[in-house]
Amino acid sequence: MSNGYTISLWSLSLLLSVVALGLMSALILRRAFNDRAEERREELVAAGTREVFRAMEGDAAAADVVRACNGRPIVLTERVLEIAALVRGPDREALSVLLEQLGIAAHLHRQLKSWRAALRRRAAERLALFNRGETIMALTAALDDRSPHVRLAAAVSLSELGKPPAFDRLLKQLSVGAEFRSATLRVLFRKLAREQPIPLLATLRRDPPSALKVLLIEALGKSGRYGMEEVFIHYCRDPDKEVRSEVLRSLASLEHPAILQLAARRLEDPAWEVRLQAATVAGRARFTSLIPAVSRLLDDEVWWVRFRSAEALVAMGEAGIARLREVAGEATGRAGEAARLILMERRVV
Amino acid sequence: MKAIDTLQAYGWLTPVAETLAAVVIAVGLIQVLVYLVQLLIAASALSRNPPEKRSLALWRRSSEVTPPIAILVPAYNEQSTVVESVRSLLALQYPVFEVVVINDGSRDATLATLIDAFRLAPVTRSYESSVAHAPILGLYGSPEYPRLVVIDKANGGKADALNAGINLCRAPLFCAVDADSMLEADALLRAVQPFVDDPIRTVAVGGAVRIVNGCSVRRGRVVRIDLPRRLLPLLQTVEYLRAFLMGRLAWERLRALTLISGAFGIFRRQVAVDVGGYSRATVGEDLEIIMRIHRWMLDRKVDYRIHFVPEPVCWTEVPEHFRVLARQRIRWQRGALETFFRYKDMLLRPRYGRIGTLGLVHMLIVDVLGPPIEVLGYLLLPLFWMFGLLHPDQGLAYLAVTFTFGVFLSIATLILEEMELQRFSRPAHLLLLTGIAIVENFGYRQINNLWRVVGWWQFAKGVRHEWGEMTRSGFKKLDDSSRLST
Repeated sequence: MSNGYTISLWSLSLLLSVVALGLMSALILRRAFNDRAEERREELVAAGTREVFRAMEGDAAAADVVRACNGRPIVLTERVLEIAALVRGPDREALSVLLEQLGIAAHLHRQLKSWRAALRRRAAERLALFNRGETIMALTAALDDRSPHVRLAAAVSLSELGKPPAFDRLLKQLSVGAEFRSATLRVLFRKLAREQPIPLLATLRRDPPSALKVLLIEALGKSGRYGMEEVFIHYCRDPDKEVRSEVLRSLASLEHPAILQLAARRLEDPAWEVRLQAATVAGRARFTSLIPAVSRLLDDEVWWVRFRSAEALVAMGEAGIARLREVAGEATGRAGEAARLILMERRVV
Repeated sequence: MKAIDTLQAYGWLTPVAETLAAVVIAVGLIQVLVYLVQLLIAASALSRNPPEKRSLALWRRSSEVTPPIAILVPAYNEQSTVVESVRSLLALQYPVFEVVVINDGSRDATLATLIDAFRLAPVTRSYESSVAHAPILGLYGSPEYPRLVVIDKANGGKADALNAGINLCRAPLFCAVDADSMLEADALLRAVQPFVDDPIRTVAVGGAVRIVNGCSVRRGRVVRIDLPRRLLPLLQTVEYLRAFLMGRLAWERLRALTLISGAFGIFRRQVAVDVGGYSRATVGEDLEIIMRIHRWMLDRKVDYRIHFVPEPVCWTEVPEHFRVLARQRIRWQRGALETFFRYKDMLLRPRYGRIGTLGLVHMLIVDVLGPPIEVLGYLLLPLFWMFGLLHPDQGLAYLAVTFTFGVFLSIATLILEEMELQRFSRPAHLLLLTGIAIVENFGYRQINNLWRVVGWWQFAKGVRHEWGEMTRSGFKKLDDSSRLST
């Protein structure tokens, strides 16, 4: 090992250690200073918050809040946004106007341009409070953000503000069903289905990819709106088992008359996930005419199907419980065990 | 002088000494470079994605779609702490979850304590025996605590207990914690975010583990963060920061994370079942199951992710006594070696991607080769230097990789923590930890390597996997919010 190399290692390690020590010392001093500043800041936040509540009741104005915060209303951002999350109706509207006057909306607009995706996402979520043209424009622009989470947050906020973008454009921007599969998409789709179900229904009619189909069926099913059931029924034989399961779930939540026949057919579905869903639906809807078919699933090869079928029979009331007692008494093996265990677990032996 | 002359007369000793020194320095340097890269990656990751400060925002964002979680709590001889632990778990802020305590054949009154505290009675719960474990002796529940299930089983070890919990739980995810772990109220909500953001690919998530020694605890929650008063846990404080904040975060970003702490990790239940549950044939079951998941997924070419989230915090008690710490570190080393050699055929094979090239190579250098080479260096290099067989500059290089680079890395981790997370409550804490970060490299690190060599020796001898006893100090009572075990 050459002398120059080894000396460099030693010098480098010393240099790095000294630099790190220096930086750490600076951070310790900064913390010491900031701790004092933080105490003062907390006092300003407390005083500012009191003025915010007074302003919401009409006893103070934005200028009073600014004065209480020593001219720095931005310190109130976290606190007032938490308050905003808890209020609704006229209080929320009043708070929104106040926060605009305090410059907090503008602060969030600036954060929407941060280089940090996490901050942009946060800002996009919080801007749902401000139903103003400038905010709508900023959120619409955020639909082209490089981060899919930011795009999704912007879309959710826009839909909360009653200004969702065109659905086809949204699908493309979010790459729904392709690369981006966040569970939060369900939250967005449910909001859209409640407010504007028609474009979702139109998309569903076009036989989209399975992942998108599941989202659409789930959202439309939860919307509680009627008139789309025949589209769901069309997909009850879809090759994708998740689609078939979701069709059952959604039709059951809409209490559609066809669900009985569909559930009966799906109790013999080749996919266990669909059989399980069919049994669950039969139990919740108390389809006692399906007791024999559900009972046969007590001997299913998949434990989860056996378990949910047993639960379904309990949910069907006395008739289902009576059937369970019969199976528990007569059958051996999987079916008997499934019946016995659920009766003991539910204490209906 | 005579001795030096004698040694130098053996001309072949000098090149031997220099070669050995070169090897020791090279291995040390490689480790330093690896840690440096980890530091840079972790710094980048934290600055790009600072953790969400307010969990309310997470709740609003995702509580509608967060999946149910079963918290599995293996307990062995935990009578002094189990009730507080369970109470704090039951109070977690998460939409849908259950707590499954597995009493693993405790010899103390763990089960009786639980029955008494929660008014438990025998219950029946059907379950599928998907993974193997020692027999279950009874199940307990209470209508007053519908989220709590207690499994009483024959002793089989931690992995065995977790397997019983996996069988009994019904949620799609389970969270494995230690019985003495204290999760922050929003820990589940934070740790579950990768499952929300990427539900198809995410199979496991690890959270950060911090040291509760010295902190003030009230009703199973850390209400005030303080530092331990004793030196040993203080040293571990810096060590844990380096391991979690720097190491795990960096490996996660490189998609080569090979370990989720057994104190706090969330797994997709079906994946754990698919790979056969936790291995009962190792003391490093937390490391082993991650490697098994990697192999299983890569063999089947499944697109998957294992994440680490730095902000959801689990607080855990660390050993305060030398012997207990030594046992722990020896056990960890045995676990690392058991796992490495079990999966050594994945090493450098393209089929296993970054796990085979980065993850396992890292284990080879740091866990397998590193400790014996470093210890050899401690023993021989000073002697060589004293007897003039080594050039002074080589000695300096050795000091650099053994001590001063370590000082830099430890302090740099503290810098990262202060710039991005600011978990320590006072500047005096930072000052003390800075001192500890220096001291850590002069003795503590070296002793750790010695223990790891002992672990190597035990592994080579085929010593049976055993956990040994952890000396528990217990939690202080609620009212005085006093410090935990100093």
